[in-house]
Amino acid sequence: MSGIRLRDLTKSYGSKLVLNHITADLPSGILCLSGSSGCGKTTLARILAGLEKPDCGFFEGITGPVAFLFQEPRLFPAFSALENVSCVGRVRSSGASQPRLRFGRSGRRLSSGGGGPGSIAPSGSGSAPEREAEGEARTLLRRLLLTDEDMDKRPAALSGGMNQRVAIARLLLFASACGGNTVLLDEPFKGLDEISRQAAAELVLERLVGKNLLVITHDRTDASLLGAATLSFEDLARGIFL
Amino acid sequence: MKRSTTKNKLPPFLNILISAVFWTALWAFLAYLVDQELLLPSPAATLKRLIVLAGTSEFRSAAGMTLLRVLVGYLSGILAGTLLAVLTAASRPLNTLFSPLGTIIRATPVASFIILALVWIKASNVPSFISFLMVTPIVWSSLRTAILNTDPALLEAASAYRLGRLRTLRMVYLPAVLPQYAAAMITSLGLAWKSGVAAEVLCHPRLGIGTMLHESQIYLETADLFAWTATVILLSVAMEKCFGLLLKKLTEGRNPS
Repeated sequence: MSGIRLRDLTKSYGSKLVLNHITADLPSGILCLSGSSGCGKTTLARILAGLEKPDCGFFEGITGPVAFLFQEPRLFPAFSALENVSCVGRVRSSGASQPRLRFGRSGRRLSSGGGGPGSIAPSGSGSAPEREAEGEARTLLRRLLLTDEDMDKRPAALSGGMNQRVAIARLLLFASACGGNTVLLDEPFKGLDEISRQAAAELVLERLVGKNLLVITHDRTDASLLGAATLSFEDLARGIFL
Repeated sequence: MKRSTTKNKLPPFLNILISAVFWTALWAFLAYLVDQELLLPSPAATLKRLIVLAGTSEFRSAAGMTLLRVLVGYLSGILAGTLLAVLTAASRPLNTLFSPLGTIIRATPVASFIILALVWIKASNVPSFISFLMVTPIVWSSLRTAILNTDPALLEAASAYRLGRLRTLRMVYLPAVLPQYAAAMITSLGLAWKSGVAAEVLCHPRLGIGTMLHESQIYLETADLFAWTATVILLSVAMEKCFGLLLKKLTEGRNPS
Protein backbone atom coordinates (compact mmCIF):
# COMPACT_ATOMS: atom_id res chain seq x y z
CA MET A 1 0.00 0.00 0.00
CA SER A 2 1.39 3.38 -0.95
CA GLY A 3 0.98 6.59 0.97
CA ILE A 4 -0.42 9.94 -0.11
CA ARG A 5 1.70 12.05 -2.44
CA LEU A 6 1.24 15.80 -2.34
CA ARG A 7 2.43 17.80 -5.28
CA ASP A 8 2.70 21.57 -5.23
CA LEU A 9 -0.44 21.96 -3.09
CA THR A 10 -1.23 25.60 -2.56
CA LYS A 11 -4.13 27.23 -0.78
CA SER A 12 -4.76 30.76 0.37
CA TYR A 13 -7.68 32.54 1.96
CA GLY A 14 -7.66 36.08 0.65
CA SER A 15 -4.17 37.38 1.17
CA LYS A 16 -3.27 34.70 3.72
CA LEU A 17 -1.23 31.89 2.21
CA VAL A 18 -2.04 28.74 4.20
CA LEU A 19 -0.43 26.02 2.09
CA ASN A 20 2.63 27.16 0.18
CA HIS A 21 3.40 24.80 -2.70
CA ILE A 22 3.60 21.70 -0.50
CA THR A 23 5.24 18.71 -2.11
CA ALA A 24 5.68 15.65 0.07
CA ASP A 25 5.31 11.89 0.13
CA LEU A 26 3.48 10.77 3.25
CA PRO A 27 4.30 7.25 4.40
CA SER A 28 1.54 4.66 4.35
CA GLY A 29 -0.01 3.50 7.65
CA ILE A 30 -0.63 5.78 10.59
CA LEU A 31 0.84 9.26 10.72
CA CYS A 32 0.20 12.05 13.22
CA LEU A 33 0.51 15.57 11.92
CA SER A 34 1.08 18.21 14.57
CA GLY A 35 1.63 21.92 14.40
CA SER A 36 0.63 25.26 15.83
CA SER A 37 -2.93 26.55 15.50
CA GLY A 38 -3.72 28.05 12.13
CA CYS A 39 -0.65 26.58 10.41
CA GLY A 40 -2.77 24.79 7.79
CA LYS A 41 -3.17 21.21 9.12
CA THR A 42 -6.93 21.22 8.93
CA THR A 43 -6.89 22.95 5.55
CA LEU A 44 -4.67 20.18 4.20
CA ALA A 45 -6.98 17.52 5.64
CA ARG A 46 -10.04 19.23 4.17
CA ILE A 47 -8.40 19.35 0.75
CA LEU A 48 -7.51 15.67 0.97
CA ALA A 49 -11.10 14.90 2.00
CA GLY A 50 -12.39 16.80 -1.03
CA LEU A 51 -14.15 19.40 1.11
CA GLU A 52 -12.02 22.24 -0.24
CA LYS A 53 -10.22 22.82 -3.49
CA PRO A 54 -6.58 23.84 -3.58
CA ASP A 55 -5.63 26.92 -5.56
CA CYS A 56 -3.28 24.69 -7.50
CA GLY A 57 -1.41 21.41 -7.23
CA PHE A 58 -2.68 17.88 -6.82
CA PHE A 59 -2.43 14.79 -4.68
CA GLU A 60 -2.30 11.09 -5.40
CA GLY A 61 -2.72 7.82 -3.56
CA ILE A 62 -6.26 8.21 -2.24
CA THR A 63 -8.63 5.49 -3.35
CA GLY A 64 -12.39 5.81 -2.94
CA PRO A 65 -14.17 8.18 -0.57
CA VAL A 66 -12.14 9.63 2.31
CA ALA A 67 -13.48 9.06 5.83
CA PHE A 68 -13.09 12.36 7.64
CA LEU A 69 -13.61 13.05 11.34
CA PHE A 70 -14.35 16.74 11.84
CA GLN A 71 -12.96 18.70 14.77
CA GLU A 72 -16.52 19.06 16.11
CA PRO A 73 -18.86 16.04 16.33
CA ARG A 74 -21.34 17.50 13.77
CA LEU A 75 -24.06 15.06 14.72
CA PHE A 76 -27.56 15.43 13.29
CA PRO A 77 -29.49 16.95 16.20
CA ALA A 78 -32.92 15.50 15.41
CA PHE A 79 -31.70 11.91 15.43
CA SER A 80 -30.52 9.57 18.15
CA ALA A 81 -26.88 8.63 18.63
CA LEU A 82 -27.64 5.23 17.09
CA GLU A 83 -29.33 6.75 14.03
CA ASN A 84 -26.43 9.18 13.63
CA VAL A 85 -24.05 6.25 13.34
CA SER A 86 -26.14 3.73 11.44
CA CYS A 87 -27.13 6.24 8.74
CA VAL A 88 -23.64 6.02 7.20
CA GLY A 89 -23.55 2.26 7.28
CA ARG A 90 -24.85 1.61 3.81
CA VAL A 91 -22.48 3.61 1.66
CA ARG A 92 -21.90 2.30 -1.79
CA SER A 93 -18.54 3.26 -3.18
CA SER A 94 -18.37 3.88 -6.89
CA GLY A 95 -15.70 1.23 -6.85
CA ALA A 96 -13.23 2.99 -9.05
CA SER A 97 -10.04 4.27 -7.54
CA GLN A 98 -9.19 7.91 -7.09
CA PRO A 99 -5.45 7.88 -7.61
CA ARG A 100 -4.92 11.40 -8.75
CA LEU A 101 -6.81 14.64 -8.47
CA ARG A 102 -5.36 17.56 -10.35
CA PHE A 103 -6.44 21.15 -9.88
CA GLY A 104 -5.69 24.20 -11.93
CA ARG A 105 -4.74 27.64 -10.67
CA SER A 106 -8.37 28.37 -9.92
CA GLY A 107 -8.73 25.19 -7.90
CA ARG A 108 -10.96 23.69 -10.55
CA ARG A 109 -10.53 19.94 -10.84
CA LEU A 110 -8.76 19.27 -14.11
CA SER A 111 -8.69 15.51 -14.06
CA SER A 112 -9.60 12.68 -11.81
CA GLY A 113 -8.70 9.08 -11.80
CA GLY A 114 -12.32 8.04 -11.90
CA GLY A 115 -12.94 7.85 -8.17
CA GLY A 116 -16.29 9.58 -8.07
CA PRO A 117 -18.04 9.99 -4.78
CA GLY A 118 -19.77 7.06 -3.20
CA SER A 119 -23.36 7.44 -2.20
CA ILE A 120 -25.83 5.91 0.17
CA ALA A 121 -27.53 2.95 -1.41
CA PRO A 122 -31.16 3.74 -2.14
CA SER A 123 -33.58 2.79 0.60
CA GLY A 124 -36.45 0.46 -0.02
CA SER A 125 -34.19 -2.37 -1.08
CA GLY A 126 -35.16 -4.22 2.07
CA SER A 127 -34.39 -3.62 5.71
CA ALA A 128 -31.69 -6.26 6.09
CA PRO A 129 -28.79 -3.89 5.26
CA GLU A 130 -30.31 -1.31 7.59
CA ARG A 131 -30.52 -3.84 10.41
CA GLU A 132 -26.97 -4.87 9.69
CA ALA A 133 -25.81 -1.24 9.85
CA GLU A 134 -27.72 -0.72 13.08
CA GLY A 135 -26.18 -3.82 14.63
CA GLU A 136 -22.71 -2.66 13.62
CA ALA A 137 -23.45 0.81 14.98
CA ARG A 138 -24.53 -0.68 18.33
CA THR A 139 -21.36 -2.75 18.55
CA LEU A 140 -19.17 0.29 17.88
CA LEU A 141 -21.02 2.47 20.35
CA ARG A 142 -20.80 -0.21 23.05
CA ARG A 143 -17.07 -0.52 22.43
CA LEU A 144 -16.88 3.25 22.90
CA LEU A 145 -18.52 2.82 26.30
CA LEU A 146 -21.98 4.14 25.47
CA THR A 147 -24.92 2.35 27.07
CA ASP A 148 -28.01 1.21 25.15
CA GLU A 149 -29.91 3.97 26.89
CA ASP A 150 -27.41 6.59 25.68
CA MET A 151 -27.70 5.31 22.12
CA ASP A 152 -31.36 6.26 22.00
CA LYS A 153 -30.67 9.80 23.16
CA ARG A 154 -30.25 12.75 20.88
CA PRO A 155 -26.93 14.66 20.81
CA ALA A 156 -28.34 17.50 22.95
CA ALA A 157 -28.99 15.00 25.76
CA LEU A 158 -25.42 13.64 25.68
CA SER A 159 -22.21 15.16 27.03
CA GLY A 160 -19.55 16.62 24.73
CA GLY A 161 -17.32 13.58 25.23
CA MET A 162 -20.18 11.20 24.43
CA ASN A 163 -20.96 13.13 21.26
CA GLN A 164 -17.30 12.89 20.23
CA ARG A 165 -17.44 9.11 20.74
CA VAL A 166 -20.61 8.92 18.63
CA ALA A 167 -18.78 10.87 15.93
CA ILE A 168 -15.86 8.42 16.11
CA ALA A 169 -18.27 5.48 15.80
CA ARG A 170 -19.88 7.12 12.76
CA LEU A 171 -16.47 7.61 11.16
CA LEU A 172 -15.45 4.00 11.78
CA LEU A 173 -18.66 2.63 10.31
CA PHE A 174 -18.33 4.91 7.29
CA ALA A 175 -14.66 4.00 6.82
CA SER A 176 -15.50 0.30 6.70
CA ALA A 177 -18.58 0.79 4.50
CA CYS A 178 -17.17 3.21 1.95
CA GLY A 179 -14.25 1.08 0.83
CA GLY A 180 -11.79 3.96 0.69
CA ASN A 181 -8.16 3.58 1.72
CA THR A 182 -7.73 6.87 3.58
CA VAL A 183 -9.02 8.07 6.95
CA LEU A 184 -8.42 11.60 8.25
CA LEU A 185 -8.96 12.36 11.92
CA ASP A 186 -8.95 15.97 13.06
CA GLU A 187 -8.35 16.15 16.83
CA PRO A 188 -10.08 12.77 17.34
CA PHE A 189 -9.75 12.42 21.10
CA LYS A 190 -10.51 16.00 22.07
CA GLY A 191 -12.71 16.16 25.16
CA LEU A 192 -12.39 12.47 26.01
CA ASP A 193 -11.35 11.21 29.44
CA GLU A 194 -8.46 8.75 29.78
CA ILE A 195 -10.60 5.59 29.69
CA SER A 196 -12.58 6.77 26.68
CA ARG A 197 -9.39 7.84 24.86
CA GLN A 198 -7.93 4.42 25.42
CA ALA A 199 -11.09 2.67 24.23
CA ALA A 200 -11.36 4.93 21.19
CA ALA A 201 -7.69 4.51 20.23
CA GLU A 202 -7.94 0.71 20.52
CA LEU A 203 -11.04 0.64 18.35
CA VAL A 204 -9.51 2.96 15.74
CA LEU A 205 -6.43 0.75 15.48
CA GLU A 206 -8.54 -2.41 15.29
CA ARG A 207 -11.05 -1.17 12.73
CA LEU A 208 -8.80 0.80 10.43
CA VAL A 209 -6.19 -1.84 9.74
CA GLY A 210 -4.84 -1.59 6.22
CA LYS A 211 -5.90 2.01 5.69
CA ASN A 212 -3.79 5.13 5.54
CA LEU A 213 -4.55 7.07 8.67
CA LEU A 214 -3.64 10.74 9.01
CA VAL A 215 -4.29 12.11 12.49
CA ILE A 216 -4.23 15.86 13.00
CA THR A 217 -3.57 16.74 16.60
CA HIS A 218 -2.13 19.21 19.04
CA ASP A 219 -1.67 16.52 21.62
CA ARG A 220 1.51 14.46 21.33
CA THR A 221 0.01 11.74 23.54
CA ASP A 222 -2.45 10.92 20.71
CA ALA A 223 0.52 9.68 18.66
CA SER A 224 1.73 7.42 21.46
CA LEU A 225 -1.81 6.11 22.02
CA LEU A 226 -1.93 5.12 18.36
CA GLY A 227 1.72 4.08 18.23
CA ALA A 228 2.19 6.41 15.28
CA ALA A 229 5.05 8.49 13.94
CA THR A 230 4.60 12.23 14.37
CA LEU A 231 5.44 14.76 11.73
CA SER A 232 5.27 18.48 12.34
CA PHE A 233 3.45 20.49 9.75
CA GLU A 234 6.46 22.76 9.39
CA ASP A 235 8.59 19.72 8.39
CA LEU A 236 5.92 18.62 5.97
CA ALA A 237 5.94 22.07 4.41
CA ARG A 238 9.70 21.68 3.92
CA GLY A 239 9.11 18.40 2.10
CA ILE A 240 10.93 16.21 4.57
CA PHE A 241 9.13 13.05 3.37
CA LEU A 242 9.95 13.66 -0.25
CA MET B 1 -41.05 19.22 54.55
CA LYS B 2 -40.31 21.92 52.04
CA ARG B 3 -43.29 23.65 50.52
CA SER B 4 -43.39 25.01 47.06
CA THR B 5 -43.58 28.77 47.01
CA THR B 6 -44.92 28.92 43.45
CA LYS B 7 -48.67 29.24 42.92
CA ASN B 8 -50.63 26.44 41.31
CA LYS B 9 -51.02 27.14 37.62
CA LEU B 10 -54.51 26.97 36.13
CA PRO B 11 -55.15 24.44 33.36
CA PRO B 12 -55.07 26.05 29.88
CA PHE B 13 -58.79 25.58 29.20
CA LEU B 14 -59.63 27.44 32.42
CA ASN B 15 -57.40 30.34 31.38
CA ILE B 16 -59.21 30.51 28.03
CA LEU B 17 -62.60 30.31 29.77
CA ILE B 18 -61.73 33.13 32.19
CA SER B 19 -60.52 35.30 29.32
CA ALA B 20 -63.65 34.55 27.24
CA VAL B 21 -65.97 35.32 30.18
CA PHE B 22 -64.19 38.63 30.80
CA TRP B 23 -64.44 39.85 27.20
CA THR B 24 -68.04 38.63 26.78
CA ALA B 25 -68.99 40.43 29.99
CA LEU B 26 -67.34 43.62 28.71
CA TRP B 27 -69.19 43.26 25.39
CA ALA B 28 -72.49 42.73 27.23
CA PHE B 29 -71.83 45.76 29.42
CA LEU B 30 -71.05 47.99 26.40
CA ALA B 31 -74.15 46.70 24.58
CA TYR B 32 -76.19 47.51 27.70
CA LEU B 33 -74.73 51.05 27.77
CA VAL B 34 -75.33 51.68 24.06
CA ASP B 35 -78.75 50.03 24.23
CA GLN B 36 -79.25 50.01 20.46
CA GLU B 37 -79.10 46.63 18.76
CA LEU B 38 -78.51 48.32 15.42
CA LEU B 39 -75.17 49.70 16.67
CA LEU B 40 -74.05 46.99 19.04
CA PRO B 41 -76.09 43.83 19.59
CA SER B 42 -75.63 42.02 22.88
CA PRO B 43 -73.86 38.65 23.10
CA ALA B 44 -77.22 37.02 23.83
CA ALA B 45 -78.85 38.52 20.72
CA THR B 46 -75.87 37.47 18.59
CA LEU B 47 -75.96 33.93 19.97
CA LYS B 48 -79.71 33.76 19.36
CA ARG B 49 -79.25 34.82 15.72
CA LEU B 50 -76.37 32.38 15.32
CA ILE B 51 -78.54 29.51 16.55
CA VAL B 52 -81.39 30.53 14.24
CA LEU B 53 -79.04 30.92 11.25
CA ALA B 54 -77.23 27.66 11.98
CA GLY B 55 -80.54 25.82 11.60
CA THR B 56 -80.98 26.97 8.00
CA SER B 57 -79.64 25.15 4.95
CA GLU B 58 -78.46 28.50 3.54
CA PHE B 59 -76.09 28.89 6.49
CA ARG B 60 -74.56 25.45 5.98
CA SER B 61 -74.17 26.01 2.24
CA ALA B 62 -72.62 29.47 2.69
CA ALA B 63 -70.25 28.30 5.42
CA GLY B 64 -69.36 25.17 3.44
CA MET B 65 -68.61 27.11 0.26
CA THR B 66 -66.45 29.66 2.09
CA LEU B 67 -64.61 26.85 3.87
CA LEU B 68 -63.99 25.14 0.54
CA ARG B 69 -62.77 28.33 -1.16
CA VAL B 70 -60.42 29.21 1.69
CA LEU B 71 -59.12 25.66 1.88
CA VAL B 72 -58.41 25.52 -1.88
CA GLY B 73 -56.63 28.89 -1.78
CA TYR B 74 -54.71 27.98 1.37
CA LEU B 75 -53.49 24.59 0.20
CA SER B 76 -52.54 25.80 -3.26
CA GLY B 77 -50.76 28.77 -1.62
CA ILE B 78 -48.75 26.38 0.55
CA LEU B 79 -47.87 24.29 -2.47
CA ALA B 80 -46.79 27.29 -4.56
CA GLY B 81 -44.94 28.87 -1.63
CA THR B 82 -43.07 25.64 -0.96
CA LEU B 83 -42.13 25.22 -4.61
CA LEU B 84 -40.98 28.83 -4.93
CA ALA B 85 -39.00 28.58 -1.67
CA VAL B 86 -37.14 25.48 -2.83
CA LEU B 87 -36.45 26.91 -6.29
CA THR B 88 -35.34 30.35 -5.11
CA ALA B 89 -33.20 28.89 -2.31
CA ALA B 90 -31.50 26.55 -4.77
CA SER B 91 -30.92 29.06 -7.55
CA ARG B 92 -29.79 32.66 -7.26
CA PRO B 93 -30.93 33.62 -10.78
CA LEU B 94 -34.40 32.24 -10.02
CA ASN B 95 -34.46 34.20 -6.78
CA THR B 96 -33.52 37.38 -8.67
CA LEU B 97 -36.28 36.62 -11.15
CA PHE B 98 -39.02 35.84 -8.62
CA SER B 99 -38.22 38.11 -5.66
CA PRO B 100 -39.89 41.25 -7.16
CA LEU B 101 -43.05 39.17 -7.47
CA GLY B 102 -43.02 38.47 -3.72
CA THR B 103 -42.36 42.12 -2.90
CA ILE B 104 -45.23 43.27 -5.13
CA ILE B 105 -47.68 40.74 -3.66
CA ARG B 106 -46.74 41.73 -0.12
CA ALA B 107 -46.96 45.48 -0.79
CA THR B 108 -50.15 45.61 -2.89
CA PRO B 109 -53.41 46.23 -0.97
CA VAL B 110 -55.70 43.18 -0.89
CA ALA B 111 -58.58 45.31 -2.23
CA SER B 112 -56.58 46.13 -5.39
CA PHE B 113 -55.98 42.43 -6.00
CA ILE B 114 -59.65 41.61 -5.43
CA ILE B 115 -60.84 44.24 -7.88
CA LEU B 116 -58.24 43.24 -10.45
CA ALA B 117 -59.05 39.55 -10.02
CA LEU B 118 -62.73 40.31 -10.54
CA VAL B 119 -61.83 41.59 -13.99
CA TRP B 120 -59.78 38.51 -14.83
CA ILE B 121 -61.57 35.55 -13.29
CA LYS B 122 -65.03 34.29 -12.31
CA ALA B 123 -66.34 35.99 -9.15
CA SER B 124 -66.81 32.72 -7.27
CA ASN B 125 -63.13 31.83 -7.83
CA VAL B 126 -61.76 35.18 -6.66
CA PRO B 127 -61.78 34.34 -2.89
CA SER B 128 -59.66 31.22 -3.47
CA PHE B 129 -57.27 33.19 -5.66
CA ILE B 130 -56.93 35.96 -3.06
CA SER B 131 -56.31 33.45 -0.23
CA PHE B 132 -53.71 31.80 -2.47
CA LEU B 133 -52.02 35.17 -3.09
CA MET B 134 -51.88 35.99 0.61
CA VAL B 135 -50.55 32.59 1.72
CA THR B 136 -47.91 32.08 -0.98
CA PRO B 137 -45.43 34.86 -0.03
CA ILE B 138 -45.57 34.03 3.69
CA VAL B 139 -44.78 30.34 3.16
CA TRP B 140 -42.27 31.19 0.42
CA SER B 141 -40.24 33.68 2.44
CA SER B 142 -40.31 31.69 5.71
CA LEU B 143 -39.32 28.41 4.11
CA ARG B 144 -36.64 29.99 1.92
CA THR B 145 -35.07 31.67 4.96
CA ALA B 146 -35.18 28.39 6.88
CA ILE B 147 -33.56 26.48 4.01
CA LEU B 148 -30.80 29.07 3.66
CA ASN B 149 -30.20 29.08 7.42
CA THR B 150 -29.68 25.32 7.56
CA ASP B 151 -26.42 24.66 9.40
CA PRO B 152 -23.67 24.50 6.73
CA ALA B 153 -21.52 22.35 9.05
CA LEU B 154 -24.20 19.66 9.09
CA LEU B 155 -24.61 19.88 5.32
CA GLU B 156 -20.87 19.44 4.95
CA ALA B 157 -20.97 16.41 7.27
CA ALA B 158 -23.83 14.93 5.22
CA SER B 159 -21.79 15.45 2.08
CA ALA B 160 -18.59 14.03 3.61
CA TYR B 161 -20.45 10.91 4.75
CA ARG B 162 -22.09 10.54 1.34
CA LEU B 163 -25.64 10.60 2.68
CA GLY B 164 -27.12 11.36 -0.71
CA ARG B 165 -29.89 13.84 -1.49
CA LEU B 166 -32.84 12.03 0.05
CA ARG B 167 -31.14 11.23 3.32
CA THR B 168 -29.70 14.76 3.56
CA LEU B 169 -33.22 16.08 3.06
CA ARG B 170 -34.56 13.79 5.81
CA MET B 171 -31.73 14.13 8.30
CA VAL B 172 -30.58 17.72 7.83
CA TYR B 173 -33.02 19.93 5.92
CA LEU B 174 -36.38 18.70 7.26
CA PRO B 175 -35.52 18.96 10.97
CA ALA B 176 -34.00 22.39 10.32
CA VAL B 177 -36.93 23.86 8.40
CA LEU B 178 -39.98 22.17 9.90
CA PRO B 179 -40.51 24.44 12.94
CA GLN B 180 -40.41 27.63 10.84
CA TYR B 181 -42.43 26.03 8.02
CA ALA B 182 -45.14 24.91 10.44
CA ALA B 183 -45.28 28.38 12.05
CA ALA B 184 -45.67 29.98 8.60
CA MET B 185 -48.50 27.58 7.74
CA ILE B 186 -50.38 28.43 10.94
CA THR B 187 -49.83 32.19 10.54
CA SER B 188 -50.97 32.20 6.94
CA LEU B 189 -54.15 30.26 7.75
CA GLY B 190 -55.70 33.22 9.58
CA LEU B 191 -54.74 35.47 6.69
CA ALA B 192 -56.30 33.06 4.19
CA TRP B 193 -59.61 33.33 6.05
CA LYS B 194 -59.52 37.13 6.38
CA SER B 195 -58.61 37.74 2.75
CA GLY B 196 -60.95 35.04 1.43
CA VAL B 197 -63.96 36.46 3.27
CA ALA B 198 -62.99 40.03 2.29
CA ALA B 199 -62.93 38.90 -1.34
CA GLU B 200 -66.40 37.36 -0.95
CA VAL B 201 -67.71 40.64 0.47
CA LEU B 202 -66.52 42.48 -2.64
CA CYS B 203 -67.31 39.76 -5.21
CA HIS B 204 -70.68 38.55 -3.91
CA PRO B 205 -70.55 34.93 -5.03
CA ARG B 206 -74.00 33.28 -4.86
CA LEU B 207 -73.13 31.43 -1.65
CA GLY B 208 -70.55 32.50 0.89
CA ILE B 209 -70.12 34.02 4.33
CA GLY B 210 -68.79 37.24 2.77
CA THR B 211 -71.96 37.60 0.70
CA MET B 212 -74.04 37.11 3.85
CA LEU B 213 -71.96 39.69 5.70
CA HIS B 214 -72.54 42.14 2.88
CA GLU B 215 -76.29 41.51 2.88
CA SER B 216 -76.46 41.93 6.66
CA GLN B 217 -74.78 45.30 6.29
CA ILE B 218 -77.15 46.40 3.49
CA TYR B 219 -80.26 45.45 5.50
CA LEU B 220 -78.77 46.82 8.74
CA GLU B 221 -79.04 43.43 10.45
CA THR B 222 -76.18 44.01 12.86
CA ALA B 223 -76.93 40.91 14.91
CA ASP B 224 -76.61 38.82 11.74
CA LEU B 225 -73.35 40.62 10.94
CA PHE B 226 -72.01 39.64 14.35
CA ALA B 227 -73.33 36.07 13.98
CA TRP B 228 -71.61 35.59 10.59
CA THR B 229 -68.40 37.13 11.95
CA ALA B 230 -68.55 34.71 14.88
CA THR B 231 -68.97 31.89 12.35
CA VAL B 232 -65.81 32.98 10.51
CA ILE B 233 -63.89 33.16 13.80
CA LEU B 234 -65.11 29.72 14.89
CA LEU B 235 -64.29 28.10 11.54
CA SER B 236 -60.87 29.78 11.37
CA VAL B 237 -59.97 28.75 14.92
CA ALA B 238 -61.23 25.18 14.35
CA MET B 239 -59.20 24.88 11.13
CA GLU B 240 -56.14 26.36 12.86
CA LYS B 241 -56.46 23.80 15.66
CA CYS B 242 -56.87 20.92 13.17
CA PHE B 243 -53.83 21.97 11.14
CA GLY B 244 -51.90 22.66 14.33
CA LEU B 245 -52.54 19.11 15.55
CA LEU B 246 -51.70 17.65 12.14
CA LEU B 247 -48.43 19.60 11.95
CA LYS B 248 -47.58 18.62 15.52
CA LYS B 249 -48.06 14.97 14.58
CA LEU B 250 -45.94 15.36 11.47
CA THR B 251 -43.10 17.23 13.19
CA GLU B 252 -43.16 15.12 16.35
CA GLY B 253 -39.72 13.73 17.07
CA ARG B 254 -38.13 15.63 14.21
CA ASN B 255 -37.60 18.88 16.04
CA PRO B 256 -33.89 19.32 16.67
CA SER B 257 -34.33 20.97 20.06
